[in-house]
Amino acid sequence: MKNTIRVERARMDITQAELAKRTDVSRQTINAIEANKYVPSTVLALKIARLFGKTVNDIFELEDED
Amino acid sequence: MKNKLLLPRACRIIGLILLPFAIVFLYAVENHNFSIPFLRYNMPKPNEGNFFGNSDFLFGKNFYADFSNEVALLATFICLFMVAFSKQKNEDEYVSAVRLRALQISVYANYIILALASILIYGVSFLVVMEVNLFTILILFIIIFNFNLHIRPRLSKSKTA
Repeated sequence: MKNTIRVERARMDITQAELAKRTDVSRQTINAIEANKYVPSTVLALKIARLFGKTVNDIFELEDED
Repeated sequence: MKNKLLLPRACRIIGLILLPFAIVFLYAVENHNFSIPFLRYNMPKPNEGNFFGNSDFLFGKNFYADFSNEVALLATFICLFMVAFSKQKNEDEYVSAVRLRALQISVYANYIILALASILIYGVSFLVVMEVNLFTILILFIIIFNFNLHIRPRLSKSKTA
């Protein structure tokens, strides 16, 4: 599953650490999600989407192999 | 995500501090017959007609017990356990996922090592392997978990940079 967190972060001009703090997770978690090494839980995906003011579908997108 | 089955974070630091002493103690007990005086006891002679039949057969007149070995093993176990299963600074769902995967890999590796040892090693040497094998899961888990959580992201970051 790919995502546009890095783009959204750049748009909002916030760092991984700030995003991690605001979603109550570790910076490693945000780093792993951005690198497509970890698929977040529904709760975390909803938190991230809400923080960017978008829907989960706008941030996360299924790939062919999913 | 709250994981209630983990020890407080302070246990990790205590475990890390005490682990070297426990390992040195275990090594000294196992290889140099080291023992602590207050852990040596003269136990009363077991009753006649017990599980061992004639009590003189196993223990002689006095049952001499040294608990240094048991204490050393327990201390090493407890220290490793404290290091392995304490909370991280930021305990979240990703850390839980990494922990679960590390635990799975370490259990697999442990039994692969055990299977190979049972095929390749015989006699008294196998008992030595079994003794070391008591700690393999915990040691492998600590290495894999910390590598995946702390070192691997840095390596992949330096590759992409």
